[in-house]
Amino acid sequence: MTPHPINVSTKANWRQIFANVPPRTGARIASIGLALILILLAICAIWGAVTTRNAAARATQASQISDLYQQARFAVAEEESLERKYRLEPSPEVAARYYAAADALVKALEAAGPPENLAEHAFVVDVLAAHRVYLDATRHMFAEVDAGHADLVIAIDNNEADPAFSVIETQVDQAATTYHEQALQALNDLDQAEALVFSTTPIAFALGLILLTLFWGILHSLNRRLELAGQLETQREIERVKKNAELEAALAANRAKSTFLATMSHEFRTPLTAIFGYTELMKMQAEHYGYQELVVDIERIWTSGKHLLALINDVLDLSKIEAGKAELYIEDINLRVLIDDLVSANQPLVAKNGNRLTLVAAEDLGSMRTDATKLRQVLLNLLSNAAKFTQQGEIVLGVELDQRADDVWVRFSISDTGIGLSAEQSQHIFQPFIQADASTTRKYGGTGLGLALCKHLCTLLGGQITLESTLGAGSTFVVTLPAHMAYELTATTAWIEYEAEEVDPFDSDADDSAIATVLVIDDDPQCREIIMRHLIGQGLNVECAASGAEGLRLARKLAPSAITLDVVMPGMDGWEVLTAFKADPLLADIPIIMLSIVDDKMQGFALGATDYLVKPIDRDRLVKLLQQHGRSSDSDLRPHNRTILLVEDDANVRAITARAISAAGWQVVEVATGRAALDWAATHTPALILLDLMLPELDGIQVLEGLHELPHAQHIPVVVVTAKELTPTERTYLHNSVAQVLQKGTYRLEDLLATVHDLAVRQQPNQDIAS
Amino acid sequence: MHKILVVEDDFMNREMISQRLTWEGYEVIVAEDGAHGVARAITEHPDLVLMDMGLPIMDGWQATRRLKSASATRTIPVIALTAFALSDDRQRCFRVGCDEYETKPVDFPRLLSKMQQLLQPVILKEDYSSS
Repeated sequence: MTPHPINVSTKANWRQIFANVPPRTGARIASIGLALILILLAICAIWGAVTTRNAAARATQASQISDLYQQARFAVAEEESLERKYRLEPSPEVAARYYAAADALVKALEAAGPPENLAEHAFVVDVLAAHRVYLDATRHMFAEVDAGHADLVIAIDNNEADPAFSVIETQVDQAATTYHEQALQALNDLDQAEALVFSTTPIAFALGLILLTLFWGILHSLNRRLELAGQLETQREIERVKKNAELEAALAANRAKSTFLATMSHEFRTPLTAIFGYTELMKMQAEHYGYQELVVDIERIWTSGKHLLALINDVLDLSKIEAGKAELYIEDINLRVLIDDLVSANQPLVAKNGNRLTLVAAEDLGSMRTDATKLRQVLLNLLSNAAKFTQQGEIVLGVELDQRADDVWVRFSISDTGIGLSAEQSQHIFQPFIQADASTTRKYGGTGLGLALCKHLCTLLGGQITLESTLGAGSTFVVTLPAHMAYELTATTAWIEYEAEEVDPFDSDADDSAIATVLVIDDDPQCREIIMRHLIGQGLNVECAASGAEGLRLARKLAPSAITLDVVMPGMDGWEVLTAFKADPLLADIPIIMLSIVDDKMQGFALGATDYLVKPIDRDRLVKLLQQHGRSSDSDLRPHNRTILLVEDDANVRAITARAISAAGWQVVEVATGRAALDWAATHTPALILLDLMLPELDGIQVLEGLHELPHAQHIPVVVVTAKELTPTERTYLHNSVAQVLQKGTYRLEDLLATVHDLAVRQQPNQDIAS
Repeated sequence: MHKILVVEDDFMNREMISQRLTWEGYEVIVAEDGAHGVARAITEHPDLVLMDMGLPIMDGWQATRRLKSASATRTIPVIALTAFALSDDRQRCFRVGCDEYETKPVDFPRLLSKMQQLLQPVILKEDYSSS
């Protein structure tokens, strides 16, 4: 919850609080409030109803009792008047009425004080007892009246009847009055209760309605806010997608730009070559013929050219990185050695402006896994900047290890006491083509790309570069890089093929086969025609044979560079034709690609087929195979030394590999151990060595070392074929000492053959194998 | 005197390189495209070929492959000269059989030392044959 301000006196404050409450919490609070109000209203209603009902019940009871006592009062008055009447004019009718009145009084009193109502009952019983006394006295009196004893009547009346009667009369009168008052009070109470309920109900309802509306309003507004938040989220999502698309487009555009720049950089180099060449030539001639005064001018042309070249190189580097085309070569390096090298290499540059370079670093910095070339490029750039912008000052290169939670980082700091940079200049310093001052280039030289390049390189190496600088007081550049760069980073470095490369006929095989002839042996004319048309379309000469026998005849006549052979044919089938080809010494070396609807590669390779394609044929793949295998069969292109040493301890792998290589026209010498390989190589010079790394007795690395000691074996290309996961050290070692490393399980047989061909064919006495 | 074949399509560069090499004391023959280059190499048998890679008709890679595959020319060292400075260009050059690799603009002192290294065995051979 958002903390509430303590003083919430103004509307604005409330609004603010309301706005600050998170919508979901607000909705919950509003719902609870609504429920509480409803419960309160229900309690009010129940209370009103109960109160009214109780008041009504009390009023009814009180008025009933009051009525009964009124009746009793009438009965008492009646009794008295009838008693007097009887005494004046006695008649049985009056006596009967008198007794009826007495009865009515008794009934009324009994009704008013039923036995359940204890207090009332006791009162009534007292009254009734008095009444019985009075009744007895009256009866006695009436008898005396009938007897005519007037004196006795008066005596009885005075002594017995009157006192009892007066008691009854007083009591009943009192009770009647009390109960009348009580009934009136009860009715009054009822009136009040009703009045209260009637008056509060509308108010309560009005209040309820107001609160309801209010809370509904709050709820609604909160819902609205929630909805708006949802809409906002959706909108944000849309915007995000849009932004991503835009970003993607921008990235694509940027890549296109970078590709363009890279291509342009290449184009710049051609005229520059001529400029440099002629400048140097002129300088040499000027010196030679004694035009010494021209030499200075010519050197100026040369210096300007160098600047232009540096600019182009930086643009190329930058665009390579931006195009995602920068490669990382990650290796383990001794950091201290690298730093020392760098410092000694920079001494002349530093000394030029009278500066001093101090190195602040531990004696042992351990190893660092990174791209050494790129790291060196960054530090060199920063050091030369420091040297360039400082006069008679001090440059400090600091290197320290920074142990963080997850990893070790290396922190390089390059400080100088030079011209420094203002805060505003610092902001843009890592952007391409921006130097602190437009005049900087004139005064100090440089391309304005160095720091942009440094920043990109640092990012590429998984780290960052920062700058602290004060104008006039010097600058400190800090490069922070992970000490152990993950290899995955190399894999994720985007590799986007240049379009320029795609259209560039780098694949020189295409033209090699333009003059080559391919013999197509197939009984199906349609199939023949399809293959023929496609191959001609690829610039190949194509001859066709409809049967195996015709194929053999044409092959002898044409000496084709490659043959495609259908397996299923009437008469002589493909396998028989293949066997016949391999049996003929003149034809045995022509590579044959089997085409079949049956996938039977093993038999094909066993009988000496160079490759195998399953119908329907992937024509592009066929062309590729023909180009690849075709050249080795071209008699003019065939190398002299056709021996290949195969070192492999696994008999199966050895047999399959040997068969494939011999099918491509090579002689294979198979050995199973490293020792045997060295023994054989001591007296022979193969065109190429195929070497497994995991060998008994001597392993592959030891064999390589042994080969290096054999003078005649120095230039034999070695292809390492291994199933082993290589360590960086091994990789580096192999990288420097063998022509190619093929990882078992990841290469195809044809890759191996292509490699073998490429390397063995160009084996030369003074060959420098691709490093 | 060593005979150097310069295969280069750009007139200025061709002239410049041949002048510079002549100045350095080499005999220079030139060709304007890959096909001519191969033809001149076969007929005149130079001691070394400086091969530009971006050539018309037949590019430098194809021409080098040709030279390295034919018995008559396969012993002639080939130095690739390319304006493409990416590392895989270098790999491509070696794959087709180039013996050395130089980027343009040409750093002549370096190129000349590479040429000398490649030409040395030939000198030995000549010494043997002359003695």
